Amino acid sequence: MSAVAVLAGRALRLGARNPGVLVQTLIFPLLLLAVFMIAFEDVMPTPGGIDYAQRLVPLLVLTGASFGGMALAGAVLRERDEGVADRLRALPLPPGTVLAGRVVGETLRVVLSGVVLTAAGYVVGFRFSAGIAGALGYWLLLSLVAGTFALLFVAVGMRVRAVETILLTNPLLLVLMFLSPGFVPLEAFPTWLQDVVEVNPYTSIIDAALGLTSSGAVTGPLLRSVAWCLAASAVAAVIAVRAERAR
Amino acid sequence: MSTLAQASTWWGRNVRLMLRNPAGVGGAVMTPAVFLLCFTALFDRILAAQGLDAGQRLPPAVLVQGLMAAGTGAGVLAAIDARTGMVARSRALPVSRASVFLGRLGADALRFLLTTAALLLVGALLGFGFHGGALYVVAFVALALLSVTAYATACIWLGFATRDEEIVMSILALPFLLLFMLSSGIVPAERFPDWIEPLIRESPISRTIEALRALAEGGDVAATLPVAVAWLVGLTALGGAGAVRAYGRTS
Repeated sequence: MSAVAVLAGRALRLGARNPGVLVQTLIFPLLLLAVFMIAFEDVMPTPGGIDYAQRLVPLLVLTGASFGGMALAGAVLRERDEGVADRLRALPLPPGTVLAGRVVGETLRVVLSGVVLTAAGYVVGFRFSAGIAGALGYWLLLSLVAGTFALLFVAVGMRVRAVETILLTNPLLLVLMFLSPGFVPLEAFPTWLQDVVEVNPYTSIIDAALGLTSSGAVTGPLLRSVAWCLAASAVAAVIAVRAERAR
Repeated sequence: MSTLAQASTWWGRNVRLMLRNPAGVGGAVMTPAVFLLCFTALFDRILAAQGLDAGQRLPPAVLVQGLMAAGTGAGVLAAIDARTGMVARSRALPVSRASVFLGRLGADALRFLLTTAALLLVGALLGFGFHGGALYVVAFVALALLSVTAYATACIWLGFATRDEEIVMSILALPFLLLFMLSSGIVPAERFPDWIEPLIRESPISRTIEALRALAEGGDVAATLPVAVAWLVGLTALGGAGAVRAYGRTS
């Protein structure tokens, strides 16, 4: 167990020292938060009286987790190329320890960035106005999302052969980000596109976060979010474990 | 050989290299078109609520943004040339410094022209149109190319100065999107908070986009075009001087 903690700490320190990971996890979402508030707050419709900052914060946590995850997958790939991964495997540790350590470290990274982003959101109007239970639910949801992204991108980094393949996820992440109710409320999308937006996993997560922090349905979006996260984690775990064994 | 003849030789080399990597060209052409579709979907209703027509308003703005994104590619290629020693070799040749730079920029201009054509095509499907004569269309394309030249020279400068394409990519990945959001590209300047409104209005990106919009409308451009051209020529001169200097220092 302490081996996992040591390896998690290592993953966390590596992330903090990697400018790419740091910029994508923290700097980019913080700048986006400022720029979106400045540029769009005035024209953005606010259905249900929900403040724009309330939508932006969960979206930007997802943005930081996903784009930071991309940078992380690149780092995992580089460690494989440079032989660091092989050296870690040569250590006398139970199977899966290295993988677990990395995933735990990455999960902590995303949770920490979520804390910073939520705090920054407070400056521009984000509030927990749905009670203690809601706030607690928000942080649990955020941790679950963090763990899912950590598993997903560690799996990608262990599986792919070239950085270019990782970069291919970039347009996919942009579409997930734009076609969600975090940037623009669902009602503002063209009618035919609203169906697409509703299928986006980001939509379930943002809706759940909105319900947990301000107003709106909680149970439906929350169940869908948990289902998405568990399904994605299961697939990612299978890929990661198989990649680990195949080496 | 004159500088121009030398430049055309470099141009040929760069174009051939570019054509060998069709995926890169395809990306530069398609990305802005995808952005235009996304932004139109996101902002059509919101802009309509402000009494603005997204179909006519967004294409010139997304064109400028897409060209900026494509312009970062020029910086990346310059960095690769500097890192791999291509620049060192070309400096050892008895050719003018400006020719290397012009050859780089000229090859990129071809890519930018493709980006512009693709974006205008998608824009036309979304309702964008020119309401002036052919001269206005030519001026529109010329101004768009001038705008990306200004940005690309700065990127090439960075590429020659850092000699590291990863640094260039990570530095340039962010600014164009943020600078674009902080312009009158989507939301009109007067809808920004008062404290930042003058900056939004006067930014070279806003000025360029407003001039492009005026050219598409085909009306009076005296109020917008000269300011935009002045900004862009000034920025190009600055970036070009820096790029040629950084090129001279590369070893």
